[in-house]
Amino acid sequence: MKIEFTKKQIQLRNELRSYFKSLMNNKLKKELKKGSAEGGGPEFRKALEKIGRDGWIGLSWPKEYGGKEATPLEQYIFTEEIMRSGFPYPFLTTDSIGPTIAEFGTKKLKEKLIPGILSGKTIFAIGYSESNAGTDLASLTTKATLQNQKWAINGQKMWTSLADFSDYIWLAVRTDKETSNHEGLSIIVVPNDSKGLSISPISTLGDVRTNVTYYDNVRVPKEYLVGEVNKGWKLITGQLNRERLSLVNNAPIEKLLEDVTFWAKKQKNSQGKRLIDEKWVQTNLARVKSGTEALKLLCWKQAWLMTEKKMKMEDASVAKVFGSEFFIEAYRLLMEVVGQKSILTKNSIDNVLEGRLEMLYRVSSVLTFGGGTNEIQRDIISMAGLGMPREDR
Amino acid sequence: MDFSYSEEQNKIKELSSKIFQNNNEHELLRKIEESGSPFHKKLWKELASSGLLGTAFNKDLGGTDLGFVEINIILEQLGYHISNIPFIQTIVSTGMAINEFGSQKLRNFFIPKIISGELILTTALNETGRLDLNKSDIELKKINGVNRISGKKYLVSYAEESDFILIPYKDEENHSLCFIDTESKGLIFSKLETTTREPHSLLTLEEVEIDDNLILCSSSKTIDVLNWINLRTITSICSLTIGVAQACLDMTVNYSKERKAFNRTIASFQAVGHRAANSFIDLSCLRLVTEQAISLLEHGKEAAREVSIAKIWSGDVAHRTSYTAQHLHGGIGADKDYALYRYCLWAKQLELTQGSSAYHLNNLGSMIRNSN
Repeated sequence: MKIEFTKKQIQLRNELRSYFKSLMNNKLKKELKKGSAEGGGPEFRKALEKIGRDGWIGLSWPKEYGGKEATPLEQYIFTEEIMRSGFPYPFLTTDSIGPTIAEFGTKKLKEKLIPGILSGKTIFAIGYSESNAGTDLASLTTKATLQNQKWAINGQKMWTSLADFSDYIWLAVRTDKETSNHEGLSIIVVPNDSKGLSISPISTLGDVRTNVTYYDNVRVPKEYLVGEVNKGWKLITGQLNRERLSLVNNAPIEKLLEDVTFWAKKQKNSQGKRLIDEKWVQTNLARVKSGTEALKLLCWKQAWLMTEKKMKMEDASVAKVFGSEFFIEAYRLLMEVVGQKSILTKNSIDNVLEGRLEMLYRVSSVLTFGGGTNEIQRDIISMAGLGMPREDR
Repeated sequence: MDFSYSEEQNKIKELSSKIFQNNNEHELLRKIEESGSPFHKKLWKELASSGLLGTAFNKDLGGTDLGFVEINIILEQLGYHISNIPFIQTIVSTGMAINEFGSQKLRNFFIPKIISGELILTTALNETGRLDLNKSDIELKKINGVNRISGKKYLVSYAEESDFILIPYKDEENHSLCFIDTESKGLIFSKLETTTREPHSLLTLEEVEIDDNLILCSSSKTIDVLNWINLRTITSICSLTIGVAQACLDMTVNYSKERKAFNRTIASFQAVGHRAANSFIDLSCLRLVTEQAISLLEHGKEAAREVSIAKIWSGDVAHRTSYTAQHLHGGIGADKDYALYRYCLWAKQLELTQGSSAYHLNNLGSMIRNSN
């Protein structure tokens, strides 16, 4: 038992930290601040292509694709550092959809998509949810039928985030009309410039734009179906497990705690007493610290389990539930420390830490249900982790 | 990065688990409790004859020269099959400190007899109204050329059962740590009754003579030694708590799969499953923060923050898991013919021993304030 990174891994961390620090130049920061915090602007595209050129996107990819075959632990260090920097890295494309295409895609599809993913030129949006299919995803109704070697797609998807600037949509569709559950679903890659595809924005509480996407007889080539027809469920659940991990990375909250602590050390009242000298402030910071440590270790353990190929079904669920609920609590505790000024937005004068807390608390409501609602995660924990029977649905 | 146990560590886990399990029969523990015996002496003897009491001690003294990781593996198993033995007191808080800091003479005097199970040792660190264990109100006075100490020590576990008690005191310049023979004149024990019935005393010292041969340290280094002991004692309590909480959860899950209500097992209710899942998450976190503290201490790294974090989690998880177990069991959880109650008593006692969650939050907060 040795719960520390090696010297080499710490070196990698330092290298990445300074790399991302210089990547996040003022132009890029300004573009992200101005509106599209989730990326998509020209500076964002430029930076992502640079990350690709420098070989970082392929860090954990197999050598046959030009990757470096780093272990999940090194990949985790990369994830931590990029999240710490605040760059909206498209993890779903690079670490979830990309590897799934590499594993299950046809040769033609791989040749078409993978070079773009690894060079930072191709970004995917995910089209899973519908207005009546969220947690119960298997009830989705968007359908695809094969006509003259092409899939004809009809239906509507909700919450298709990034679709307004992505290149492709990773779409879950029903290919077997006879079924209404998880059997008969498939994954099809839909180019964003397809005829019959239209997108309309949904603006959200967290200032994050998401979309409704409409599919009106959209036609894509037969080989754009990933894996086997009617066997898409496996790809969806596998992908969601990977997504859960990147959702609860501990780096951003660690950075936020450091920043609020630093801020609290500088604040003085008229008698010259620092805010950090208040006991209740120290206790709030300590609460956040003890949660952050637990989350950090859950992430480290998972990266290690993945490296050792010992990952269990309940592990991702534990991290997702704990992380998402802890973030919400941590934002509250840190807002209490900052006080009433924490409600000043990023656009306001006199704001604290660029209004990050004001933005984060608005985004955080998504955390407990996004990426698989916490009720389902607790079902998985009691079933897989504790061997308890699942309630009939 | 390595979260796994070595083959040897797994063997220690199996061996200690077997010994604890064999001595954990509910009826046996009831008999020991009713007999008025202060602790499980048969179990202590078996631990000695198995060699486990020597785990952390050097080979030249008869130990097996393993480390703090192995000690915590044993402690978790003890927690899982909980009974009263002075393991932390004799092995961690005193034995390991003698092994690390004691003179060769002191080590030769104490350690072989600790390993053979002949000696029971404990520490007297608590004082009333004071959580800072590094300070002491015990005063040293030279009377007729002899060093004598006087004062009061609270909640001294295994005081009367021990052969020697490690006590901190201060003279004009420094703090010192010295073993006092429990047969010494001027030592007065007042028995306390704790929630687990683990034996505790209020200790009064009236001009008790210091034996210079039994001084562990007496320089400016004493505070470091006390810190060393504290960090390891607190971490050990966390490991014991993991075992206790895991037992609570396992008993609860098993019971919920048998107990029926409305013609189905209560485990099949989502509300029950989710409450158990919360304990699972809690335990996952507690295990990791404790392992981190153990690993850092084992490798000689700075660990004050990490130990406080482990104890914050330990106190919270002990409390929550215990009440979840009681609640999901219903009435049987309070029935003294069923073992759960014993674990719940321990959960509360461990939660409040060596600083509660609130105390350690405060402690961690101070460290954050003082950090660069």
